[in-house]
Amino acid sequence: MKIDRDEAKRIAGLAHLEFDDAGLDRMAGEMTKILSYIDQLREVDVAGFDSGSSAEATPLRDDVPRPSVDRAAVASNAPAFSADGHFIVPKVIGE
Amino acid sequence: MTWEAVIGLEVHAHLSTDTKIFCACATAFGAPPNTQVCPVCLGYPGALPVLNRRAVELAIRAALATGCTIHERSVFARKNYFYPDLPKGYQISQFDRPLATGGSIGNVRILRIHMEEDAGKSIHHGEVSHVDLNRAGTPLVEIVSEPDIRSAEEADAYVTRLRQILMYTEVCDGNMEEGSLRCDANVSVRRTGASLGTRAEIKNLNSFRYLRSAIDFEIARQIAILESGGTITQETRLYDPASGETRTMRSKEEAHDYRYFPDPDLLPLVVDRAWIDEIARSVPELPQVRAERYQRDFALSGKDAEALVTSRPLADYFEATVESSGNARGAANWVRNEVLRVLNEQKLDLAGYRVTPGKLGRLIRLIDSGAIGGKAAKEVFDDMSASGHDPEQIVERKGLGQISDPAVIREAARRVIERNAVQVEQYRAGKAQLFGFLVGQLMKETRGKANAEMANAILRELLG
Repeated sequence: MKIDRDEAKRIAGLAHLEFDDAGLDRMAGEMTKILSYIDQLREVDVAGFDSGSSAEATPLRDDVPRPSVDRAAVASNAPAFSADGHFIVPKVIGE
Repeated sequence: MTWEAVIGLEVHAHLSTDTKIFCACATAFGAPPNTQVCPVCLGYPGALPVLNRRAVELAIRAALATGCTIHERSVFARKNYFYPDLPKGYQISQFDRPLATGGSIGNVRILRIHMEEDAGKSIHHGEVSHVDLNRAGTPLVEIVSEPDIRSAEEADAYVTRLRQILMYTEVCDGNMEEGSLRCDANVSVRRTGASLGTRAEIKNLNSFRYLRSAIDFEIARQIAILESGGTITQETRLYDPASGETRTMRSKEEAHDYRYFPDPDLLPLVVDRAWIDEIARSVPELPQVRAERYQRDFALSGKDAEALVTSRPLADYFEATVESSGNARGAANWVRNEVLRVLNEQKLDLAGYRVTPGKLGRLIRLIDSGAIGGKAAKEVFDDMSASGHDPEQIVERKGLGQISDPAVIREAARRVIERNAVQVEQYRAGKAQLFGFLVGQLMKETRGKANAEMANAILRELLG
């Protein structure tokens, strides 16, 4: 599967990343390489192998509250935090 | 050719758990901002989600109560988009392998029920937005209907019934003001019988009034566009309660390409048959079934039965009153008319209400045995609501007991006839309206305590 410059640009846009044309070409090439490798893996005959995942289930925990993180610690990791305890972010358009 | 609306609803319901879906932070509403957060729900790198068993249980209960098929194996997926109240840059949801599919509520089919986490809350302040992540990670079920709804009224009825079911099963507290139950509506219109039109999605309808008003507005808007030769744009719209209109949602996130993929941090959710069966046993009798039973066993009208099952505490109260009074119709009338009136007027709920089903049952027995009359019963009831006293005690204290001994009433009637010879003469000569006067005298004679029915009958008999 080949990723071209336009597809790379679209994906970058969805991820809020910006590249110049050279960067887009480089990313397109790298993504194409990754997908080619996946295509190669798909060719392997795995019939008769148990992937093991069918036996596994996500673990579950009991519904028992545990203390949350101290808000001062939360604030210290935030770029901007209001006196009344909110994260401050640039104005969001729409809702 | 008339227009027909085609509506499908997505209802998001907070599951009534104590902790979030993937971490042990509390979910209580109204805590100070950002005090119920941890590395998992803040989206810190390296923090891993662990699924809440109770959330799964409640989601399964919702699925069972709406007749869905539960899949023993479902998969959590990442829904990728950017918004400040979504700290990870993706929402953990279910996509192509949901927990449950294919149920129904009345005539409306349910397409699917899946589990997901809620986002946080943003508040807009001029040039900045404030974000509170207490709600981020609250467990939700999203219940998606097929487009089987044709009007705002039908949408209202569907959500009303769904909300009742979720509250009966204690899956969700149903509180729309606090955002525990929210609704998105997909609305399109078409010429009757034609193929489906282009739809608009209206977001975040958090009251029944908004739901109806938004759908009505949207139907009218789309018909007006189509009739003037325009076309409908497929888009997301927001309802503005102030104007009663829907408008295009302005958003930075134009691209609705969520790039779903299975969340590598979570293995598939596996629920075995035995667990589903165990949860099935915890599903209580549902409102619809209960209403049908009331009609069948208590000979109540559909309207009465519906009114009595609107909430589980009310239905429980009614049934306990039937038990204590031995009179289902009497219990239905008293609960529907008097109990609901008092609760409404005094803004009470049943939990703290002084007139217990036992006391109300005894009041009904006093009426049925003829010990008190209808007017006195109302007085006793109002006194009970205010004082919490026993009905017998109130009858005694206020002297409201009724005379139901025919011998005593007959004796009093004789005295009345003797004392009012002139009127009795005129009555017997054909002046029928004097009967009312004589009954009045008899009631006076018994200080208003004669059983009115008996007083009438005895007087009529003595007057010949």
